[in-house]
Amino acid sequence: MNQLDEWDYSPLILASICGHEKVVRLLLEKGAIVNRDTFEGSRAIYGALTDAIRGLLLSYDITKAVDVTQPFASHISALLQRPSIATADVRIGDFRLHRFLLTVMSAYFAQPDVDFSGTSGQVLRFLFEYIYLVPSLDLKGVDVDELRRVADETGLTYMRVAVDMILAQKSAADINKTKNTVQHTMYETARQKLKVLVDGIVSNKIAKDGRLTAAEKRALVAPWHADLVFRVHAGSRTLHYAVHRAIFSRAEYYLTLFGSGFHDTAVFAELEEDGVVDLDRLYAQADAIPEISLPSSDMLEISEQTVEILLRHLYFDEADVPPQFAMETLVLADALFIDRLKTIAAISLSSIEDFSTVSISVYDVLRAAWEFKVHRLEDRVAYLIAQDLDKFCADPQFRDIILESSRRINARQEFDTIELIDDIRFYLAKKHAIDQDGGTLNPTMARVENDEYLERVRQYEQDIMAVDRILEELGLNA
Amino acid sequence: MSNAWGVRGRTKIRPPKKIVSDEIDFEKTWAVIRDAIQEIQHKNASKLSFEELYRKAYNLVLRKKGKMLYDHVELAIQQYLLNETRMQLLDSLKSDDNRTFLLKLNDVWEDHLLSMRMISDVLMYLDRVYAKEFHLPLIYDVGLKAFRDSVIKYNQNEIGMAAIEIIIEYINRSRHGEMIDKFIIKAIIFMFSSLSETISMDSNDKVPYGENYYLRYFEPVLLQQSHSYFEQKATELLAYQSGTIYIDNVMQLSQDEEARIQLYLPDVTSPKLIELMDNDLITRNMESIMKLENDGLRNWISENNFKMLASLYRLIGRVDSEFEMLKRQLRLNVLSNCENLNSKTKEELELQEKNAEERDPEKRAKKKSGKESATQFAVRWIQNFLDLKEKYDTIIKNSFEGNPGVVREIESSFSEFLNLDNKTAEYLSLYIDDGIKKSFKDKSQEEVENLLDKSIIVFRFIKEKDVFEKYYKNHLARRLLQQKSSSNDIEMNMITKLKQEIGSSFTSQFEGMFKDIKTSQDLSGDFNRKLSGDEEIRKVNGRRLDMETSILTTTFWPMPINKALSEVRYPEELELLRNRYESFYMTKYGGRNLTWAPNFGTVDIRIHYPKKTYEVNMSTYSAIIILSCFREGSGKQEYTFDEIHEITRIPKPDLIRHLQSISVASRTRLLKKDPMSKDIHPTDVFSVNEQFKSPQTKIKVSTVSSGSKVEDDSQRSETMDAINKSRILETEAAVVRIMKARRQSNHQELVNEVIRQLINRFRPQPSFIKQRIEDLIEKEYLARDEADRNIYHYLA
Repeated sequence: MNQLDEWDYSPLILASICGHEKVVRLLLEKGAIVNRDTFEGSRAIYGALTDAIRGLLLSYDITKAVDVTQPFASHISALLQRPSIATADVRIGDFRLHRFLLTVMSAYFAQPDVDFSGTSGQVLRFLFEYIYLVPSLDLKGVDVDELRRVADETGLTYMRVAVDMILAQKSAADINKTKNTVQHTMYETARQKLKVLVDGIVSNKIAKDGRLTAAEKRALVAPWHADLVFRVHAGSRTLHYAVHRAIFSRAEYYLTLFGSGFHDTAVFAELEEDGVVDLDRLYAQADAIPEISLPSSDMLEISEQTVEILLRHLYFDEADVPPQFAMETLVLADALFIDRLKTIAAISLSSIEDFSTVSISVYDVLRAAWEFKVHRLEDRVAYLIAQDLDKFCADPQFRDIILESSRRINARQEFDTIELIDDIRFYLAKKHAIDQDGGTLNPTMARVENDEYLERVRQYEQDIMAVDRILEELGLNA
Repeated sequence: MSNAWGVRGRTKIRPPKKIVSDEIDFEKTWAVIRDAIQEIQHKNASKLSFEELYRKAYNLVLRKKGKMLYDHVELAIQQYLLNETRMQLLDSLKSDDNRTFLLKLNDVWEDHLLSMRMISDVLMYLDRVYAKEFHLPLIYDVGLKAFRDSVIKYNQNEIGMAAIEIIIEYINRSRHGEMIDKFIIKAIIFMFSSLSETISMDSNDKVPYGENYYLRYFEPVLLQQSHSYFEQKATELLAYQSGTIYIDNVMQLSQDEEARIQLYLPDVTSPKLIELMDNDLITRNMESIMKLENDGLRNWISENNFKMLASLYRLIGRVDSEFEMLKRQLRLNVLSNCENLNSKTKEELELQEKNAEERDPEKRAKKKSGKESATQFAVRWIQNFLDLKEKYDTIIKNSFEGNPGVVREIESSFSEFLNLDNKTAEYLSLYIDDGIKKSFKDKSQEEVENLLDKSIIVFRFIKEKDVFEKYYKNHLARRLLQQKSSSNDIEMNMITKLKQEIGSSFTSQFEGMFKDIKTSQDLSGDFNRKLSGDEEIRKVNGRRLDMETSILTTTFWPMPINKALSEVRYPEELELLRNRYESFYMTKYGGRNLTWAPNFGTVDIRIHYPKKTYEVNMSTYSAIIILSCFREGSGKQEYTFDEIHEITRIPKPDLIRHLQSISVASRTRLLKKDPMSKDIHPTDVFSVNEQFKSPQTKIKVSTVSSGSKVEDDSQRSETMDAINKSRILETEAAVVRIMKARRQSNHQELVNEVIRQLINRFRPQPSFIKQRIEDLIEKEYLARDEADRNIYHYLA
């Protein structure tokens, strides 16, 4: 089943490359091995003809280093396995760990003295990989009885359940399926726990316009084993949250900030020793606890809700961005380089039927779409304008925005098109269900040219003429 | 108009906290960023706030000041590099030693990279939004480019060339054995490699994509300098006129050079430099090194200098995976060694003889006849050849990694030499003959096996196998008839090996010969049993007669059936036996033609001389002479040569030889010849030698020229004529066979097929085949096609 031919192809690779989804599924169910860490495995996955096959293969991948469908989980795994900056604050065995994360996952770690000196390295490895959501769930070399004891002791009951579930399986295919189930539960549990953490952080924020005193800082940060104060101006208030570099480094902006040799978080370089930061020393000189902020505060008023959307997204991939905060979230995500949140915000924005309900002008949405390069929104605006063309033709601001669109091309030539106009024409055709390629040339189409169809063509041409009139007024040729 | 994304509109996204003016004060904001850049460049960054700087740049970009910011940043970086960094380096170049200068250069480079990292960090939004949209290099790359243009290449490459010169000099010193600071060289070269000559993909300059400062400026100088170094080194080494010195040094040098490349040169240069080195030191000179008289290929091979040869092989392998120059020289060497085989063998034999004479001066008189020593020569020659072959085999194994191409070349050289003439085939057959008759006797089975295998090696080289077949058949016939073969097993073993080598058709006649001998023995047994009761025989001879016969199938055996043979007159006893045998044989195999060949075989006769009675074994012819003319109690005592011939009708040349052996040869002078001389003349008179005396009772008369010996030139040309005749027949047979099967064929295909079928026997020339085809057309076996002269038809 897993043999290779003279060109190192396995049946699975061939089925994957040639796009036979059913064959791929059959092979996987019969125990064909996908291992991303091997040449054959990566060949099957990256050579997959369709996304469906790729997804199928990934769901059977026995070594998944990260789960691409769970960005937050892969970030947390990376904190354990390949941290880009030193954010760990405690060392157990050979592992550099984060107290806030351990405590979130199990109250056991909140005790002052946790002692794992008697636990074998492999059991510790499994335990921490489990806590850090590493998807491999690799039981190789693990003393299962010892692991069960550790699970009981630390109160990680699901870990025990998961191990027993995996051990109960016989075939490789069943083991993989079970691991997938377990991974899903692991992620959901972790998200719930991190949600509780964020709720706590949010409810314990301090609103204060002036600088926090050292004591205030310590009181804010220490209970959460946090290492930063997140200071934002929201609404009319200045808010302070206890946050973690480990989580904030998900945003490229903060990762760069933490990694660059500037003053902002330079204190951690002094506190770090062999990849572990001494947080107690930081709390002892609480004045030095760094404050970080948002980059765009003088441009746009950010609401408290938006700040918290950001926190929830960073900590546990919250994907719910209510339309009324979508614009702010979009701007914020753009400035912080969080592409996924930016996309979510854009989707939320383009789901709005009537922008007046969220007090945003269509034109501003279009300008934002240009500024932040969100094509989805440009389309959406063109669509909305096409739907209600008469109203917009009467609006002088419509003319302004057409001019703005025409200027977006450097050194515009006479024959260059105006993107906005093109888009509007496209949606007008759709609106009136006109076949733009000229259906009359097709004899079968001729028969549908009944009165109803002719009426639609008439309306369409009317709309087009309305647009052309405006262009003429503006002296534009497009 | 709106500056960013809609602060202006009547419908507002959440009112901004404060309305900022459209015209953000660029100069004021830039001043902050510029100062920060300077602080970073002066390593004071730890005082700066990332967030503040980022926010400033972010807001400038949002307000469409990206281009201004970008251009200002570039200028600021350039100016710093030009006015500060460059000046420091120029100072260092003037006042510091070379190494300090390089260290300084590397320091400022590393500082610059660090600065650029931080600058591009705070300008991240500029990179991502402005530079990306307008397809401009990222700020970090702008920094690299500025370092290249404002420091390294400024003022006609001033600093760059200075560094290049220093490093080249270091490398030169390292080549002369000096210790140098490898790390700084590696670091500077790494820097040069990082300085791209093509910043953006769509630049229009003619620099190839991926070109960098190292490749464009450093490498050419390095290669040029290395070239002169290698050339000079080669000239130096060539002056010794010693292959050993040259090769040892080149081995060492290439190892050192490769280590050097590993240590601090980039991977791209490695193949170029190695190719240059190999070309200068190996490709150009190695052939003349091999040719050196006193310390070159010839000596290494003759002295079995495996180590040297292996080094040679490895060096040539670096430049040519086909080893052409080695093959060329090996071929010359093999041919020259082969040519020496003759003189070498001759010298050895002379030396051997001299030694033998010294040990036993008595033997001086018994000088070997010319032909005998020629046979010894042939045997010795093949032995020497096999030794030579083995020598090369050992060299190939020990020094040339058994390289198949080299093996082929050596084999083909041997083959070329061995096929220069047909002597090899005869020599080889003699060698085997000698072995089976004598030298294999005291050898173990394995040794014999080994020697036979070696014979096959030589056999393999021989292209004209039919010539060998001819000789082998002759020699085998003699061995069988004269019962000189030491072992039938060895004979059969050899034949089996030949069969394995080229197939059973080649050996079927040899096997037939063996079968004849075996059948004959059985027949003789039967005949003699029958004869024991024959009264008539007893009456004629007074006692019992035995006869051993060999019945030879004409086509298997090489002896020609001569008409003269049937005219021989036999004495009474032999005639009686002959008649008896014929009738005995005919009862068994009626219808067969039996021709007697008295020129083979021997007869035992008891002869009474006055002093003693001897039992003499002699050739059948000699026996005929004695019994017909010199019987006891016959009236006539003296016969002339002509009279003897008249009585016996033995063909004259044979008669001469046999008379010689019984009247001239000193130990077996049974007859007296008058006058006493070596040669036989028709008028010579022969009578019984009453004075005959011999220490033994049993005497063997050896006939002149009865062993297997080297042919003289006339014999050889006779043999070749015979072979040519059989070649004509074989070729014609092949043509007819092929045409019979195909009915029609064009010329080239026919010729190819004939060659293919005959390749195991000999190599017919196409012209030879063409001649055969013409003959067959004349004989009306074939006809040319009317329309296409190139096509032949088979005529039934």
